[in-house]
Amino acid sequence: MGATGGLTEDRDEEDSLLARARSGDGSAFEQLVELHAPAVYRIVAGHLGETDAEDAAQEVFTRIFLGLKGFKGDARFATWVYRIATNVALTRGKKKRRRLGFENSASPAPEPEAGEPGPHESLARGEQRDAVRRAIEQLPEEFRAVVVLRGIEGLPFEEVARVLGILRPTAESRMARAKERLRTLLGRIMGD
Amino acid sequence: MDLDRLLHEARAEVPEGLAARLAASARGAEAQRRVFWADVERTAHRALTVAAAAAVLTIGLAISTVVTSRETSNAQRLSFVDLSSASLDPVESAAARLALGESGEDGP
Repeated sequence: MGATGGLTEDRDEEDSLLARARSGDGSAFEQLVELHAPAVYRIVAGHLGETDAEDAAQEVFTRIFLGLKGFKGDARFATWVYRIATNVALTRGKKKRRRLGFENSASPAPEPEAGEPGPHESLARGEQRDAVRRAIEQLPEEFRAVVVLRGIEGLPFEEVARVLGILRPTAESRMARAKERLRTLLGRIMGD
Repeated sequence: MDLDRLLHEARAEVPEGLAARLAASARGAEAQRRVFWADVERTAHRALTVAAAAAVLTIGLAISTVVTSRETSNAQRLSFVDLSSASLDPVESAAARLALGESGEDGP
C-alpha cells in the first residue's frame, strides 16, 4: 500500500478513536494522547523551554479533553491539537515575559569571550541547541510560532498555515524573515 | 552550518512515560481546576485592560467636553460686548453706564 493509503488509514483510525473518546471511552483518549504527546511536547518546549514544557503539555491535553465534545471536525484533529498547543505556549510565554519583564529588552545570544576557542570547536551539540533555543525565544511571537511548527516540528507550510489561521504565503514569508533574524543571531555558530 | 539542520536538532527530547502521565492528569480534577482558574485569570486580565482603556477614553472625552463648552460660553459672552463702546477708562465706563440708565434701558 502507498503512502496515501497509509495516511488515510491513520486518519480513519484517528477518527474512530476520536468518536470513542467523545463518547467517554478513556482508553481511546489515552491512545489519542499517545499519538500526539510527542509533537505537543516539542511545540510547547520550542516556545517555553523544557523546564515548563510538561506542565504546558498537561494544560494542552486538559483543554483537549474538556473541548472534545465541542470539536466539530471542521479541521483535522491534529491541526486542532497543534493550534491549542501553540495558543497555550504563546499565552504562557507572554505571561512569563511579563513576569520577567524582558519583553523589550531581549539581547542577542551571548557571544564567546575573547580568547575562547572558536564556535566550531567550543560549541558542543548541547550548547548549540541551547543557543538556537535562546535565539528562537528572541523572535517575535508570529515568527516564533512558524519556526517552531515548521523548523522544529517539520510540518508542511500548508499545515502551519492552517494551525495559525493564516495564508500559506504568509507562513512562508514569516519563515523566511525569521530565518534571516536567526542567521544574524546565530552568525557565529553558523560560521558566517 | 545549515540553519534547517540546526533548527531540527533543537527539537526537545520527549521524556519517557510522558504520554501516560499526560493522559492520566488531563482527565483529573486538579488539572481541570487549574485550567479553569487560568481562564478566569486571563479573562480578568483582559477585562482590567478593557476597563483601563475605557477609563482613559472617558476621562479624555470629559476633558474635551469641558474645554469645548467653556470655549463656547466664552465666545457667547464676548459676542454681547459692544466693542465700539468698550473702554478701559473707569470714568468713561461709568459715564456709559449712567447714559444707559438714563435712557431707561435699565428699568421698565
